[in-house]
Amino acid sequence: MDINKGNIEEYLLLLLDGELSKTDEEKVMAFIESSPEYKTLLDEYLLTKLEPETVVFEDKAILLKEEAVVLLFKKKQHYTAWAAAIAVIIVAGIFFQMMHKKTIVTEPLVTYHSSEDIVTDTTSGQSLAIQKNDTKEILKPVTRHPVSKKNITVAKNISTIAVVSVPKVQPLNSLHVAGLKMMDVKPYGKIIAAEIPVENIDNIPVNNTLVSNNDDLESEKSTLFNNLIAQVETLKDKVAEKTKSLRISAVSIQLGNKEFTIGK
Amino acid sequence: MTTSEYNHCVHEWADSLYRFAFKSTGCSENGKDVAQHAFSVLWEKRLEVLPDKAKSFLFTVAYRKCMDYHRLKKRTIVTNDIHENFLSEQPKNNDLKYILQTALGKLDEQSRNLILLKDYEGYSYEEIAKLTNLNETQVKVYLHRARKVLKNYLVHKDFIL
Repeated sequence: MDINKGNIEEYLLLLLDGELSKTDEEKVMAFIESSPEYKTLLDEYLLTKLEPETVVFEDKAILLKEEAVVLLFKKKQHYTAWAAAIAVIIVAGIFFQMMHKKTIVTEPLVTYHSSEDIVTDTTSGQSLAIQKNDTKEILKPVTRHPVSKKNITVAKNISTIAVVSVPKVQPLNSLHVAGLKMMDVKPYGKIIAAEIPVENIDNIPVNNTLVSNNDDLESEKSTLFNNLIAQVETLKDKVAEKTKSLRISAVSIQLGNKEFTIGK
Repeated sequence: MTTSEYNHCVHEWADSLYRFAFKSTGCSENGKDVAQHAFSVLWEKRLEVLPDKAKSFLFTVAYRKCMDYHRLKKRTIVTNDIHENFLSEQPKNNDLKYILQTALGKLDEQSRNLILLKDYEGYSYEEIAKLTNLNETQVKVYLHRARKVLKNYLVHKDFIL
């Protein structure tokens, strides 16, 4: 950088604006010392430098933007999560408890429409649970005839869908063997969470007449026994099938006046 | 830029931005309008503007708004110095500060804005060139010319110190 009288004014202005390097500043100052008249020029230019001045923008508040309050939101989330967790635990607990008790409630076994036509086509010895179609009230099991030596009762109670049971037979001659055999064939007096249509149990053989001939009696017993076993086996399969299908169906749970439905 | 960072910019730069706009337009109300406009644009562009670039962004917007203001004034007002309002708001005394502010009002808008950016905000020629969309040589020439005008005004026989 070559400083002379032709460019010293420009360098003075660059010095004033702080645009010179440290080395160049020293060169300019050295030139001024050698030529004092330029010191006056520099002083005059220094007068044009604006001094720092404080000016306050009084409407600053209108420029500010509201910042989100995060803490309140987090706290709300906290309680919501707890409430949801508690609700899930309660529902899950009730669900598993109900499943354990096999208290699955679906459609009634028999629905009647008037008091006159209650169970007119059932087999002797059958007991059927009946639910009113309008009020859904479940009545006591209805038996068309007094309990005979062998029968199968398909009923329904409040807490289960159906009860498939074989009542104890009266110890009459050797027919009680049928009862013992039936005890070996499940289900016997066992609560099964399933629904069995009435028509599936209509053909249970019933014999209320004692046969005097022993051979005939043995033959009759054998026939009755085989038929009974076959029927029970069929029922058992149906019960198993129904149970399987019910376990993957929707379940309704009633707590107080609230009803909850848990889907598949 | 977050809302918090934007608010920090308001606290940090609102006063100096208003000072620049006020001194440039010569009117406090116009200065407020320019400052509010600049921060409004910053808020709209907050997702694009980095916090460390916010000051330059604000002064760029304010500079353009001031120049728009001056162009509009030239079309609508044909009499009197535009800095009459500005001067009427300054203390009426003969100290150097007042004389210099008067001299500043004599400059053209471009030169006055460059002096304000240089002396008040301390921007370099390079930074001023970016803000004003001029090149560095133009900035230097305009500034030096403005300094000479101010010096000549100050050393006039009426203001010899």
